[in-house]
Amino acid sequence: MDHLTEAHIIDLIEGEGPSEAEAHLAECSQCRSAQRLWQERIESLREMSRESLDDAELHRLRVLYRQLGPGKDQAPRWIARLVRSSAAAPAAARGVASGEIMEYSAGPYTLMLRVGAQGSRSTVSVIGQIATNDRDRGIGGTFALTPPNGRVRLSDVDQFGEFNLPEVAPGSYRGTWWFGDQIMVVHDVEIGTDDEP
Amino acid sequence: MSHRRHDWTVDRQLDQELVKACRRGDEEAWVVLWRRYGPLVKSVSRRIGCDSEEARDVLQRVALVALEKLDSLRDPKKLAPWLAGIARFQSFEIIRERRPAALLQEDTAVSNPRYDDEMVRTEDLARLRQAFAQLEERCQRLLQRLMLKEPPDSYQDVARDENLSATSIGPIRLRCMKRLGKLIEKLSRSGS
Repeated sequence: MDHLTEAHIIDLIEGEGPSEAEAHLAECSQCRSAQRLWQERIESLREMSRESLDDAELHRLRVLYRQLGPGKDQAPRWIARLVRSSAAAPAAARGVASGEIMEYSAGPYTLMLRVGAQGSRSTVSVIGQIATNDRDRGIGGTFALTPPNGRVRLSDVDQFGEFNLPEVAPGSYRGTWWFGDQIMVVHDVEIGTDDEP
Repeated sequence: MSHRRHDWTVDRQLDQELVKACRRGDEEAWVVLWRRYGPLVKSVSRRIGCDSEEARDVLQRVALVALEKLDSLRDPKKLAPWLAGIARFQSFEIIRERRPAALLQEDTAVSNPRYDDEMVRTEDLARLRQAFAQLEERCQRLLQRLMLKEPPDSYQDVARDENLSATSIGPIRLRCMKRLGKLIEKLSRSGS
């Protein structure tokens, strides 16, 4: 018997192939590998099909786009403002050195950022906490630091509002906290090191 | 709010058109993009070892990164492997953050040996999803109903809905599968 056609192979996968095709498959490694390839493809497509998004997931993605996307008519979002810094100079004018604490306020939330020392001289860790006095509002979600160019750094925010971003390179970032429909944006987060003047 | 699952197939808008529309603020294009590639992102994440809750978190992280970096995607035709790559990285990151013992080495994703193995599989998966999106709409509908749906619809039901004879469904299904295979090969050759 010649090699199996794609039609035979697909029929076999679906359990509809003739018995001669099955017998050939048992003896032919080339056809078996073609069958394996199609089997993997079909199973991968089924796997993706099972992971289809539901309404809630799509809604969250839609909200994210409304808040942070390029549209001009974006829904209002909280832009955090700096309310306290352990350093005297304004945040935008200097790097945040190791150990300093920056406190931001946005809507019912406060955000504290602290830069901790890291083993490597070239990076620092950013430790943060999000808090609110409003008991109806939850805490959790994700906090991201986005540099103008380069890799976005993300961390889970735990139920106590705490998060930790290790190995952050010095530079200027935008901070974004996202939890369900709630989004807070912090512009001009300057991350420095003790080595900077 | 209901939790209806959305048909992840049956749309043919080109990836490059979707990216362009998302960049200019078209919210519906953004939703189509995620309906198409959200399952890919979650599948990548599940293959790497994330549970379903973690896969949902990976999806959010990938969406956030994509939103921040969509302008830097130089070739919008490579949207699928780009998203799959971010998903792979973020999946390893989430596992490292939450269950460091689950990784063989407590290292960052980029220096983990599994990362390289998963890269190949992730690219295959992205190519498969991309190829499926390029099939004619009827092929997408047919394959979805006959091969992906669990349990699949009967030939008779599909034939009735598609205004076809039941005997033609088998040959059309086969043509669609062959077309899918050709599209995958084409994408492999073009390096997508």
